[in-house]
Formats: sequence, structure tokens, C-alpha cells
Amino acid sequence: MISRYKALFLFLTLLCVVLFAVDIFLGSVNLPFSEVLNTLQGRGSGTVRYIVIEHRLPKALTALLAGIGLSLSGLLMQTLFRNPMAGPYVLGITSGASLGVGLLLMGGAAIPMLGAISESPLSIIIASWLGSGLVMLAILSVASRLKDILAILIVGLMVGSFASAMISVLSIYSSAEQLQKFTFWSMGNLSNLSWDALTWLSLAMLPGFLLAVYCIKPLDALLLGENYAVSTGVRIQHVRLLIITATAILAGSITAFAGPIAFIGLASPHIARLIFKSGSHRIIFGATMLAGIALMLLCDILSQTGGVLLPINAVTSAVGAPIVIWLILRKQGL
Amino acid sequence: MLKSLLFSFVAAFLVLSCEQATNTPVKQNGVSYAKGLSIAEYRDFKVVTVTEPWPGAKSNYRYVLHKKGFLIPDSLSTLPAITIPVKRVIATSTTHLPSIEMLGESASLVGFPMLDYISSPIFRAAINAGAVQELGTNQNLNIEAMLSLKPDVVISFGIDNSNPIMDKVSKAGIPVIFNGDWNETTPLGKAEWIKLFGVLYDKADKADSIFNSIESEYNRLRQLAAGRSKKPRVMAGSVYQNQWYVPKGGSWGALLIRDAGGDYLWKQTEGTGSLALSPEEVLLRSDEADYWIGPEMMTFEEMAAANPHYARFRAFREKNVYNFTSRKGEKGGVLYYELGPNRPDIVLKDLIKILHPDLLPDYQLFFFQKLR
Amino acid sequence: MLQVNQLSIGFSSKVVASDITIHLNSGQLTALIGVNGAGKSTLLRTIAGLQPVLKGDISVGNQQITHLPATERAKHISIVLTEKIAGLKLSVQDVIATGRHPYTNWLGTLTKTDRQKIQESASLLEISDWLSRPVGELSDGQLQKVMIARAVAQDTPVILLDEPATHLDLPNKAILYKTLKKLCRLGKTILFSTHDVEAALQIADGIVMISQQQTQQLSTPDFIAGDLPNQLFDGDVVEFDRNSVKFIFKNW
Repeated sequence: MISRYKALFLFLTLLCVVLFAVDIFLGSVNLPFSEVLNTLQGRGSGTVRYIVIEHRLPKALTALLAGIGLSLSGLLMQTLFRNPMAGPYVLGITSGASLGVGLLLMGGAAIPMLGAISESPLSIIIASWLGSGLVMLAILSVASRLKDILAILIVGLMVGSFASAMISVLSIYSSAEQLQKFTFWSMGNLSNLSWDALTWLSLAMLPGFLLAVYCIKPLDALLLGENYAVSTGVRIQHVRLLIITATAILAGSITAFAGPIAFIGLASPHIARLIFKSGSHRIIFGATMLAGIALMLLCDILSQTGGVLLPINAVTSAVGAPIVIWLILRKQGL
Repeated sequence: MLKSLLFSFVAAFLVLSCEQATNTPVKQNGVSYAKGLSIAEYRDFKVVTVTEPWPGAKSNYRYVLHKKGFLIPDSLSTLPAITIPVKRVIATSTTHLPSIEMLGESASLVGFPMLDYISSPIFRAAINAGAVQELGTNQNLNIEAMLSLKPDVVISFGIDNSNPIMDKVSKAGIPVIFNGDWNETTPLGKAEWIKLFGVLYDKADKADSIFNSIESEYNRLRQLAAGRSKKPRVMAGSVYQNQWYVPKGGSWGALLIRDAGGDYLWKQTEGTGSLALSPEEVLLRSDEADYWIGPEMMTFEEMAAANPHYARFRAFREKNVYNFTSRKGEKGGVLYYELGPNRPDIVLKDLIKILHPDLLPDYQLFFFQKLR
Repeated sequence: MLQVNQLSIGFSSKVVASDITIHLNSGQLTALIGVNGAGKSTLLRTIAGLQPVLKGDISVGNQQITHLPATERAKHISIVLTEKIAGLKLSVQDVIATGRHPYTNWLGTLTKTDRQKIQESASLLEISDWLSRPVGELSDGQLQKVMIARAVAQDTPVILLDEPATHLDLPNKAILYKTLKKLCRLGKTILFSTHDVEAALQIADGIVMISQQQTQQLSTPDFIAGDLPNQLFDGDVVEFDRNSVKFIFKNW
């Protein structure tokens, strides 16, 4: 039993390593294999070196972090709400981020002051973080007052709807150029993170990750229902806040730096449960992370093969939607 | 009896020959560069034909322009008729305005959408004096305001076959002309549309002479640059998120670079419009270009902040980056977008100054500016 | 041993029952009965800490547990409910292992002692062969055994069960009651609620009857001999026969 899990973990880890390598060796232009290899070994120069070290490597690492952050958020949400269809965005975190970025990029028409703020990547990151942060605070304040977890889910969905409606209004009054910029952002983008930005992203995600690890034990208890969880000593309100905060930090950080990326959070935990045939978070936590990394890297590789550069959300949706439909048909649970 | 027969014969003959005379153009078409515009001059009127005002236009648009009191033959009575010279005009794009101004008719503008985009000082003065009415956005034009202004003509433009607002305006009895200058691809072709305004204001000769001097100056400059065998390599375009957009080889900007004696990096791509490239494709050529024309930022710092990869390009490292957005009108309108298409000679001069500065030692850049 | 003093249970908006005082000894199997809505579930859940105490106190042994934090309370009281669980992919072992949560570290790592307890509980419930099966594959009766094993693994002096027999067929009911007796012989204090008063009268040592007016605790013989059984049902429809210890339907 234990050895079976070990073998699976080894396999998944190896898969991730292979995909990571492929993501570096393959790109939207053909770089000679030997030159890429040279660069990775510390030699190499010129444009090939630049592309590998400053473009492909950060992109692959972003995919790695996104895979981790999104998949873990999805797992947390699925267990908290005891709902296999939940994903990192059920609480409205992406909607809040989108509203923040939407106001920055398109709000200049409605609120002149906003038009004066520069649209640099840094301001987009801050706007996104503010948006999802505000939503998180709203959800947290509601979560501590509501007993029923379903009510919290509904509040999250309503907040999400509200933010989406606001974004629609903004897009009517914005220019075509501004709307295009916003649309580009919402398609998600793993590239263009400098090494500095990557460091910030990792630091931002770290508290969320640690919180999530701390939640592994109560998550297992929650799988039996909140009443059983309480009877074994889980402080429900406390744990809810931890899980929601961890999700907001993980998903909010990824969204701030890479835009909203769909389906990875929803699909990864299910893939993990399927492969390992277990529901226990002590196994599934690590398995979900690995599945998320593999899935994200795969989507990144697919997005650049075939001549045309596809936006990452298009690929994750194309890969993720069939998975979700298949899950529904097979009535996969937790 | 014979007398009255003879008389009717002569009368009929005269009438017929009159018709005939009015049906043959005095001058077939004086337009050489603008592919979308042709003007046929008859004795008493002119027929303007606009072909392909937008890509994939289903038909040509013909207009009859006549002075007051002159007759139009029945065969042309189905065409929209415009009485010239026009005194009250609505325009819908800033590129329409320099022609009006150069012909000395800036007082004729009574309405325009998005007034803030206008840069020309003369028109800004008219706006500040309240002489020009704001008409909203091009997607959402204020039809009632347009109608109440009672213009003699509306200079419009379309981007596809669906133009519901302009359909309503012409149904209300106001002539609408589709100006296809934006769909012209060549520098002189775009500028030659001043001749449309020439016939509208009954100043065709003046329009011709203005264009001729632009044409000869343009050609003179082109010859000057052609003498240089060494052509600096030029890149254009910028990135947003994951897509680089660069002008195609047949586009207006690319042609100007060629005429200025530059070697545009993507000159071999055909067509007009922009090419979408992946960041890697562009990065792979980052060392090739000596000059970078056209990003929207003002300073190198701004550029570096916008995208970490910009700093990689040799043109950036050697600080040979020029933008054209620094010259702005009172309310932020970019002058280049307004005046550039009408004065390709100035744009060409600027580009030559950038690429071969020693050819124009005393000239100062007008539209373009080096990034700070 | 479980001691409940003058307990008021219910919700902030409504008191379901009040002035409840009961005393259960270890090794004692007690049945909690009452009409629908009288508060059987509420009482069990309040004792287990799933619902707040409105008034009064609860203690296990010498330990007051009324206001203990959940982690500590879990070492004194465990409960088996009728609700469905969501984690269908969890193995039987995983589910029983959650019973050890009050004793494991922050990550839930199982020590040798923990594993031992899990094995013991499983064999007590005769489900040792199922440990690696996912609970989604089990029937209701089998699942219930797992949940009881979990409560046993939790190693608490008091075990509460909310209507454990309700969805079981007769053979499974018999197995259930046999198991409960077994646990009592090991020294546990067990309180379970039930509709099946006749069965309760056969197996339980004592009865607690709860109603809105009052809650009474009696030993089984005293209960049978007394008047309370008739108070359970409308006298016109059902009558209690002391000799056969049965409820007879009347006036068809």
C-alpha cells in the first residue's frame, strides 16, 4: 500500500520534471536543442541565451507556481464546501481581481482620476490584489457570522456576479483599445514575469501555502461533515477562516501576476484522487500539487505548439472542460 | 409648315447635343495615387466615385457634386447629390481636418465626435469659441444634434458594410460621403484625398496645387534617401501581454520607412495592417534593428517598466528609439494621427532625419521624438 | 461516567427542553426515548458539543466539559450520527483514523499507539478485512460499523449514538445491539436514542425519557413497571402490556 503510493508519487514527480524540460526546450520558435542545452549548463550567449533564461525559464517557473497555487486552492474549496464542482474562484476572488484590473484599465472614462494611473504591470498587479483582497475581506466577515457553509458559497457566487456586472458596465463605456487590453489580461499570461516578479510571487504565495499545509488534518475531518469534525475537536469557524484565507492568498496571488486561469484548480484534485484512489488529504495534498504542475506545464506547452500562440485560458479551458464533463458523467465525488 | 418642322428639328438636335455634351466628362480623372477615389469632371457638375471605402465593401459609392442652379442629367438623378461649395460640414475623423484647414475652410466645421482628439490650434480655437458641436462617439453619434446642425454634407467613414447611423442621416435628407482615406495604403494615396475636399469646397485647383507641392516634396526627399546604399535596419511595433503587433510590409508606415531609406525588419510580409508575433519570434531578432520606431511610451524608463523584454533590444540599448506621440493637442489628441496621413512629406522628412541625419542637417524633427 | 445537571437545550430562539438531569455510570447502556421532536437529537448533540448549552452543566468523570474547547472535549465524548459523509473515496482506515485526531500532532501523523487503537477498534467491530476499502462501496449498515469503530478509536469514556438502528434491518439491528453491549462490558458509558422502544426495553440497562415538560431517568425494570410507557403514545391508539413488554395497537 505505502509502496504503491510511493511509486505513484515518483512517477508524477518524474512526469513534472519531463514536462518542465519540454517546456524549456520547446517554444514558439525553434531553438536548436544543443544551444538550449548549452545555455542551461551555464554556457551559451546571445539571443538564444536571452530567450531561454529570461523568457522560457521564468515562464516555466510561473507555470509551476500557478499549478501549485491553483490546484491547492481548488482542493481546499472542494473539501470546505463538500462540492466536487468547486474551484478556486467560487468565492468570487477572480471576479474581485477582474474588477480591480477592469477599473484600472477601463475605469478612466467613468472616473477621471483612474485614467491618470499608469497601466504598468505593477499597477495591474496591485489593482488585482486589491480587488481580490477586498472580496476576501467581505467573505471572511460574512463567513464568521454564518453557520451554514452553503450560505457562504452563495454569498461568494453573488459577489462574483456583482463584480461581473460592474465589469460589463465598464466595458460599455471604454474605448476599443482599453477593452482589448482588459480582454488580453483576462485571457491569462504566464510569460513576462521578470525574475524579480517571480520572487515576489513566490513570497506572496508562501503564507497561503503554509496555511494550506496546516489545514491538511482538519480537511480530512471536514470530509466527514462539519458535525463529525467538531466531535473530533476541529474548531469549525477557525478552520473555515484559515481555509478561505489560504485560498484567497494562493489564488489571488496567481491571478494578480498571471491573470485569471481557469480549470486547473477544478480539475487537478480530481485527477489526483483518480490516480491515487484515495480521498485522504495526507496523500492528496501532494498529489494535487503535482497534478496541478503537470497540467499547467502541459497547457503551456500546448499553447505554443502549432504556430499560433494561444492564450493560456483558451488551452486550459479546452483541456479542462472535457475533464469536467467526464467527471460529471462519471459522478465523481470527493 | 416646313419652318416649324425645321425649328423643331434644330431644337431637338440642340437638346440632344446638349445632353450628349453634358454626358462626356471634360476631365476623366485627375487622381493618380489614391486608389479609392476618382473624380470625373463634367461641364456643369462632377461625379466623385469612392471605391472600397472599407475592406470588402460591397459596392462603389458615387456622388454628384454640382453648383446651385445647375442641372444634373436624369441618368445620374439616383445618385446622392451635394450642392457645392459646402458651407456647413460635419467631419468624423481627425484625418479629415487638415485638408479642410489647408483649403482655408476651417470655419465650415460645425460638428465633430470626440472633440478632444482634435489637435490643430485653429480648430481648437473654433471649438473653444463654441463654433463646433460635440457629437459623441463614432459608435454612438448624436443623430439629433447632427440633424439640427443642418450641415450641407457629412464626411463619414465606415469600417464595414453596416452603417446604420449614416443610413438614418442620409434618409433624413442630409448627404453623407464615405471618406475612404483611412483604407488607402500608400503615403501619397492617403494625402491625395484632399482633392475630395477640393471639389466639395469648389476649390479644386487649390487642392490640386497643394497636393502637387506635397507630391514633389515627397518625391524629392525620396530621391535624396534613395541615394544612400547603406540602409539602417528598422523595427516597429510593441507588445501587449503575450502578443507582439508589428506593421506588415505593405502598410503605410512600412512604406514610409522604405522610402526614407530604411530596411524594415518585416518588409517581406505582404499586406497592410498588423502582424501578430510571439515574443520569442521577435526576441530572436532583437539584435538586428538599429532603430525602433513607434512605441507609445515617452521615456526609456517607462518602456522598461512596461515589459522586461524591451530592454533586450539593441535599438533600446543603443537608445535609438523614437515615438510619435509626444506632440499633442490642447486636450491630448496626438497630432501625428491627425496630420501625418495628410502630410507624408513631413513624416518622410522626419524619418530621413532619424535614419540618415546628415542628409538634413538643419532640419528639426516634427512628429517624432527620441525617447528620453 | 456521564453527569448532566439541569441542562437546558435548544436554540437561541427556542428552548426545546429544560431542567434535564441524568446520571449514567460506566458500563451502562442507556436508551434515550421520546416522541418525535421532543429533543432526543438535540440533547445528544448538545452533550457532544455540536450545539451550545443554554443552561446547566455537563461533566464526564470529574471533569466539567460544558465549556471545554472542542479539542479537549473530543477526548471525553464521541458521537455517531446518521448523516451521510461526503468523503466517499476515503478508505475505512482513513475514516477510523479521524477518530485519533484529538491525539495526533498538527499534521495528523499516526503513531504506533494510534495504529494499534485503529486495529483494535476495527477488530472489535469485526471489520478488519475492510480497512483498505473505500467507504463509498459500503452499505448503510457497513458504514455505520465504520463510524462506530471510529468513535471507539477515539477512546472516549462516553459514546453517544443518534438513532443508530433506524435504517438497519433486523439482523443488522441485532449485530448493532450486540456490539453496544460489548462496548459496555469494556467499561464505556453509552447513551443511544431510538424509536424502537420495545428493543430498547430488551437490551438497555436504563431509560431516559425526554419530553418538553420533563426528562426522567429510570432503570429498565422501573420503567416497565411504572406509568411512563403509556405516556409515550395516545392511549386510544396504543397500549403498553407490561407482561409481554410490548405495545399493542387498539381500536382498529
